[in-house]
Amino acid sequence: MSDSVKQEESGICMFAYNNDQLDYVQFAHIAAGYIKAHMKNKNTCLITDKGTYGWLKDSIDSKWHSTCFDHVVITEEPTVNNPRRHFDSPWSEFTAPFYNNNKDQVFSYTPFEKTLLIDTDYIVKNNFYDYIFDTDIPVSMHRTARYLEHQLPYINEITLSDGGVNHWWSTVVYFDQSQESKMFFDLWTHVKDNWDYYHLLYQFPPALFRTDFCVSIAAHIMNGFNENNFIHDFLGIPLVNMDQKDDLIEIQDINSWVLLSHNRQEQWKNILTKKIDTNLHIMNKRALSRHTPTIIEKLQEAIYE
Amino acid sequence: MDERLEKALEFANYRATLSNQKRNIRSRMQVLQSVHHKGGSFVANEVTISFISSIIAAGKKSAIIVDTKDNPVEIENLQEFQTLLIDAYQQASNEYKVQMDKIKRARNIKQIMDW
Repeated sequence: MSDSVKQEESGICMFAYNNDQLDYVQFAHIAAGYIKAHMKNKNTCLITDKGTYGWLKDSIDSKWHSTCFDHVVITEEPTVNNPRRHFDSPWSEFTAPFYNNNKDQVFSYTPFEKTLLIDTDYIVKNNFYDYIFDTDIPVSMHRTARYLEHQLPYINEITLSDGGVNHWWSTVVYFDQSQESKMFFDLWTHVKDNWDYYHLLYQFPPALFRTDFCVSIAAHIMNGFNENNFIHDFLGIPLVNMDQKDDLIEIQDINSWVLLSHNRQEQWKNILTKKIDTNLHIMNKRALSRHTPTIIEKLQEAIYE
Repeated sequence: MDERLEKALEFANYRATLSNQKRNIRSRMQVLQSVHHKGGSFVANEVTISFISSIIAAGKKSAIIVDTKDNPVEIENLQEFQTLLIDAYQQASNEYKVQMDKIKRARNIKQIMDW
């Protein structure tokens, strides 16, 4: 186990650094609200910077904030601006900075012995992840994913390159404070620090720094350069991704969302799909922003009852 | 547009939506059927439940069971494991039935979406 003693046994962490386009701290409150509504291990921690925290104080009701988060960790302001192209449906796009270069530091930031790190655009609508807190598993992530019509992910989200190593998702990372977990996060940092070397070695495009690629390389190495199962894969259950070109149509209740799925192969085809009690990775952030007031209203009704 | 074609396209759209919705329900059932026990990953399906029941019927109280990741897992209390599997299976199949019944009666996209 690591030397530092954590404040609490188990909980969920998320990073939120706002930019001028997307209010990640607002998303974080939604994600945390869903955790509070559905999970048994529901202590939460927000990791943010001073500027974003100042905005949080101005923009988010204090009762709602204290309902959603039990801990706040303030870090240095992120310095590496990682510009990322976003889509909002097939017809609109924008570029926004994406601050993800200190996600590997969560091992020390977390106040929990056992931590589930989730992205702020990941909505937990059931108690699936509770089981893992009762295990001795050191690290777990999703290995596979499906989009709204159950399509396989893009090729570079299955393997890092043609015939390359498995892609793992850093959207949800479970870890404890064991030596193995520490090794995993140290390796993540090492890959980040040597990005130019690892992109050549593992043959992926270097332009956008993706934590998914860092964890995939760390998983490959820690699995013995093999497709071993040292890294647990959440029972083989795939991550469910809403693509940036999909849209969110209606929030019927907190667990029933109607979405519009865009067909990437036949782009004139869009079908409606309803996701009930299903955990969702909402990649179209603007769509989430449009429905934020409704989601918060319904969440508050459920939680404050 | 020719009205006959318009109606047929609307029906095709309904069928595509219905088929995807059935896949949504089945994948939700798969999640509910996933069981983690004694460090092993298992699926609470007919095969696993029948297999465990057969071992219990043969008078065994504990056994080594190979999980979905091909790891041997020592199950000290088979009865307890069987109960866990049956509970997961029942919860999943109940949910499956409730959701399937809802969309079985839906004759257009609005009804599938509960609009």
